[in-house]
Amino acid sequence: MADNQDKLKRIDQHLRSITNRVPDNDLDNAASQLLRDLKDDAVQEGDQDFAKQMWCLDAVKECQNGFIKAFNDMKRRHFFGAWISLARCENILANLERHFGLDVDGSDAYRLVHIAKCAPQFQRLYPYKQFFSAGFIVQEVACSICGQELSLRDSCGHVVGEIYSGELCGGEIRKADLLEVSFVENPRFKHAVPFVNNSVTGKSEDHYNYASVHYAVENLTSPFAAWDLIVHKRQRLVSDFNYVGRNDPCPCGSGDKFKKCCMRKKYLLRQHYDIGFPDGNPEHLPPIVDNAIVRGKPRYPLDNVGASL
Amino acid sequence: MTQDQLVQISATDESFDYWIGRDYVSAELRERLSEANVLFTPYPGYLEYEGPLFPIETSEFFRYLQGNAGDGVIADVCIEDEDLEYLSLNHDVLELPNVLVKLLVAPMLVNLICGYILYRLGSRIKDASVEQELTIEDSRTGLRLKTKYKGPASKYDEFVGSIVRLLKDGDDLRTLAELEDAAHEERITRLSERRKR
Repeated sequence: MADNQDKLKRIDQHLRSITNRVPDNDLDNAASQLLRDLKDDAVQEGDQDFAKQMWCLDAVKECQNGFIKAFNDMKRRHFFGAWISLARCENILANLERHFGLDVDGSDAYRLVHIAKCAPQFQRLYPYKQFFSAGFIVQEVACSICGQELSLRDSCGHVVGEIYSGELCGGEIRKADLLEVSFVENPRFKHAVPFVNNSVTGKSEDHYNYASVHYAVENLTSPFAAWDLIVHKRQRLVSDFNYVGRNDPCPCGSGDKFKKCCMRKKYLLRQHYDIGFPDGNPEHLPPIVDNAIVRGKPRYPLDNVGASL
Repeated sequence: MTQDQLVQISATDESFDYWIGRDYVSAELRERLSEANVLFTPYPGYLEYEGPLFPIETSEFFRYLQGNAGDGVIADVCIEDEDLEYLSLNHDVLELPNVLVKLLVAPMLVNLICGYILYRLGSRIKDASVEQELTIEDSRTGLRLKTKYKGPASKYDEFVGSIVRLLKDGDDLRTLAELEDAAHEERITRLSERRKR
């Protein structure tokens, strides 16, 4: 028991040191192994609460690592990979909130509150606004814990979303028919981002403008540096958008063609991101209009991001 | 957002008898369903698919009701276990199954639905949306009203709950128009009270 307490203390220290820890795969693997050992022991002894706690700590570690990976990917301009990691963090946080809480000791010791705040902020800066949505008719779902087919009136007793023997219970879809594919703006699973196909090479290309994400991440020295995002509408002269084609989407974001929306007006309201860097230095911020950071020629300049301190 | 935008109210003929008498309900299940005062009813299909369908959330919500409802609430699902098929869509809306409820237990059911929404969404309740049709059958007046809610998860009780409470407490409400007027007045009163505070 004392041995387990010592292991638990080491894991806690590992998770608390996330802000200033030097990335070390060996150390991280050792922490994972400790967690697995502790969970296995707890399951063998029938200690469900302790096994659940180990699942939660493992999820904390996964969330922290996922957020750091997302941050580093954004720094390296691997934006889609970062998006996937952020979506994964979001899912883990939803489960942790339910089973563990995000604010450990009232001090955000594991930085989960920070991640819960900043991951959606990064997501809001992303240019992905439409997603594929597959509609399925699901005929058979099984319990991920015991494998029994889920039945309304003859339940296996496991509840989806709860934790049993240190494992999260989920519904595994075993038989389903694809009915349709459509576009949605608010997907449940955020992975289904549409990319265009290059008609010459036949390969998928990333055609999105990530200038806003890049702007934010370039001014952060660490994934755990504080920053704020306020999104509001700002009035702009329509003449500022003379680079937008008549048949292109209106810069106001209505989704209509420019010629059918704001083209003939004097002003339009455009979504504006105010990004605040409390730890930053205004002299070191890049210019607000910065086309150079976008791969290839951007469709629109970065004119809707501002910094405030 | 106004009440009209979030909740549509209409009269309906789809009673307990209507659903229990559907051809996919066996005689054995029919007997069981006739005991229910909360009945999950299917979508009549989706796109070209014409069979009865339930949202993917159905089994989890049903188990939540079984685990949390008091003795007065008898919930059941208008389909055989082996015929149950779910509709799963990739949009981030908590789609609750359509429910037909007797007015007597409707306030309890709304409390349970609100509890379930909070249980499922946690702090995401601030941003998430909920979609559901709730049909309330008042055996005193013969009024049967379908409320179709699509809106913020956090406002479900404010909109649907207030309609249920009006029906439960308003003995003089006999028609859909009377209910709509009363719901509108109640909302205005509540809003002005909130502003005074």
